[in-house]
Amino acid sequence: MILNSDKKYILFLFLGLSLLSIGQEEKTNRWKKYHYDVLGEVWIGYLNPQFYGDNFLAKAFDVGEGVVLGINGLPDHKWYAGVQFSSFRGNVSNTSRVGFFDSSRIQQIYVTGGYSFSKKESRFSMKGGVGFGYVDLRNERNFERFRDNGFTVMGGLTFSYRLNTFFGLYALLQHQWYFLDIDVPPEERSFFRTVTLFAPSVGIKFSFL
Amino acid sequence: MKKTGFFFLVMVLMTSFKCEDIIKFNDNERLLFQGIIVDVAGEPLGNIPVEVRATRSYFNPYFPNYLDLPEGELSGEGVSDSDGNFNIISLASVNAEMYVVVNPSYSKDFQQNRTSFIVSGIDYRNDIENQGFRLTEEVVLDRKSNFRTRILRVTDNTDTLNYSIRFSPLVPIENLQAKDTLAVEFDPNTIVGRMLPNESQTTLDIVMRENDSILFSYSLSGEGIQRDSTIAINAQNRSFDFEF
Repeated sequence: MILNSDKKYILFLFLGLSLLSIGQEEKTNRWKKYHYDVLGEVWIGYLNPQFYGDNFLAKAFDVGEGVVLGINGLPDHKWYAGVQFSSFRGNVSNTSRVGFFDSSRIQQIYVTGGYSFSKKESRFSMKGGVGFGYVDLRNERNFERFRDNGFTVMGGLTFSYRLNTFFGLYALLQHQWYFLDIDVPPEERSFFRTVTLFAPSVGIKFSFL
Repeated sequence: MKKTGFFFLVMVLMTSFKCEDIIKFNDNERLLFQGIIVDVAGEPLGNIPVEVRATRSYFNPYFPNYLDLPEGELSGEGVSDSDGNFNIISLASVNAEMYVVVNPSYSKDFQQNRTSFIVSGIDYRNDIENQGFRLTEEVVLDRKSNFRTRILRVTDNTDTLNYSIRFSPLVPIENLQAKDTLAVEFDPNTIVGRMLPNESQTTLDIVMRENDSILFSYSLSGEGIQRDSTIAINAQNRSFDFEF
């Protein structure tokens, strides 16, 4: 896959931060804290949504990659609550199935919560969580815009590895369901109203102790 | 200061009026347009392009060349399947009228040997629960036929000949106007022409529906006569010579 310039910058930034963090850790030997000590975390990553099933985003859109970011608080180190936002674009590939427009900017925001299955002294952590939120499709054609929206739920697992006290990597596997509020004839309702997707993501994570 | 305020007010008003003309598409709404396309023998026609459009301008379905113009905003498109069925999802407009064009001449899938058809006056809002519009009658697309009319001056008559050709279909097809003729205002199914005394022959090439007919009328100014002649158009009869 050919990365565009923005993604290259993100990749270089990610690699630079990683090397810097590892270097600092080796130099100062300050690695003392493990996942169990984390009280909060901020993460940002690359999202590759995969729509499937008999729905309009799976059958009539070419969906591209996007970005996901979030913040979690872990007051008791085990249970967490947070917010997750993601955004990506899709181009209409079959106008006869969705109406004549060009593309959509798809954005979701979730309130999330879950449990961390981390061992006390480990750089690895695994979290299981769910989220409830709002999904908004900003549809565009020429200079005109209109929207489709609804609510969304998701469930997933996050695997994290901390390179040092503050910095780490993560891989996120999520399944999401959109329940859109689109008025269509009865025979098209399931096609437009219920959307399923698998949303894997990888990125970087900053921890706060 | 007053000038600036006046200018600002004018700009605001102009912007307001401009916004009124913009077709707005509804959030969270789609329409389904369904129908079947057949030929005159009732056989289904596949791969016929169909468009759903929205317009805010006055829509005159009898304007002769309206099928040549992509009027309004395209809000849905598709082609008929091998059974002649089309199922097109369209955007819904809150402030415009919707209409369906079958086999528009500007479409990349335009079937050149077939006529075009339009369905206007669609009031989908009366069926808001179902969000669907189903054409209750089949859309019949006839074949097009090239029809040639020749007017020949074979006598010594030096009068000016005025003629008109009236097409029978209520829904005209594109290219209705022949060269050197004029469309009649408010009567797009009629074209008129004139043959001057120094002319000995006029040829009119017209594209029209097969299995149709035209009414050819003429008058000679010097003799003060007017006559009509109805000519059937079909695969065998594609030309008409009028001699005077």
